[in-house]
Amino acid sequence: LQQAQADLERLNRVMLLGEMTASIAHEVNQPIAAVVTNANAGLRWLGAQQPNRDEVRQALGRIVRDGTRAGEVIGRIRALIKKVPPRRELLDINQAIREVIGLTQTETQRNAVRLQSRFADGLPLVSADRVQVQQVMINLIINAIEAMAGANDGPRELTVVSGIQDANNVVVEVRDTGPGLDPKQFDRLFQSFYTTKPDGIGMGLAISRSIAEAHGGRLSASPNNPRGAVFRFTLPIDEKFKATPELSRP
Amino acid sequence: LPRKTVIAIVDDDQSVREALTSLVRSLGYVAMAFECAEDLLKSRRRRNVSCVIADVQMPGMTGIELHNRLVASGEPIPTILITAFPDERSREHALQAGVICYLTKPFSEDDLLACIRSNLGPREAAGTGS
Repeated sequence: LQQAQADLERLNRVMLLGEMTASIAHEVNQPIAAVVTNANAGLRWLGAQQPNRDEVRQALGRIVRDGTRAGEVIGRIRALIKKVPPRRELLDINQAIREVIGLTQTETQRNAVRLQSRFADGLPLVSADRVQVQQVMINLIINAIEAMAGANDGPRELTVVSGIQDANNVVVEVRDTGPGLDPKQFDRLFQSFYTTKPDGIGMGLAISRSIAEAHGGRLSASPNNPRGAVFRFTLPIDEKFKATPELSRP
Repeated sequence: LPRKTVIAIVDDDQSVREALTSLVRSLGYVAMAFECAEDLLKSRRRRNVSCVIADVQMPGMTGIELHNRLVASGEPIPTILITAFPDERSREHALQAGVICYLTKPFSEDDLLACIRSNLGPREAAGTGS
């Protein structure tokens, strides 16, 4: 029973990211709506038979103010994530991923996605916040599923791979066979508000990268071969477990 | 001289209120902005208003309640609701209550214009009317 309660608590914390995303959507939608409306108004004032420079200037001033306000909301959220110090524990990354795969099973099945996992044996432990790491993993897996579910044809294969990145880091890769990403998108992917989903708000990857960086790790994206995208999430190996003699690359 | 069409804007968010006021004026209408629904109901200039654009979630009276109050007063005004927190139930509820449009923030100018124009006569829609 104790285990079940612990699991439930963990699940709740993982789901918190989703709820947080909803309230962020609300708070940043107001200034964004104002920016869009001000820009429309500015264009109208500019396009009038007698353009009204004063009105245009005021509209632009409000755009600066409201855009700044939207940025501040995001800044506060980032600060919030940083303020909650990662509750570090020694973590078996494979075990953490297995739990996440379990949590996302309904989604993979519902979208007819075939999930394969290839875990390297004997990976050194990392010192990390289990829930935060799992939030990142859930985000990557759900993104991959949605990317593939959005495409009508082609295989739907999701591959989760763990391994050693280098002497200091382990790496987890989430590979999908979705439509892939425009190379021009890679830089913007991790920015707040950037999204390729019709109903997305573009916070998931921004938050995920903050989490990775708060752990001293990295989160990056690249094209998958022959199709799709790969997201790589690295985490530093705990000092005590460094310099394992056998290194296996993913 | 023909009187200009008046559009009331009711939103507790200052940024949205100011932006909408400017847009509505740039379209050739007269804008009247209110911080809350109660202020519009109390306003003596209420009778000049041809169309209301109101936020759904506001402290005190909500946009839907405002619409219902206007209907109950016997002097209904065509109402467009805007919201940063859309949900299907409140949308259905609003449309059933006779609200003309339910727009999610940020909304496009085209959508807003279509909503405004669908409720005004041709002369009013052009910005001037009786």
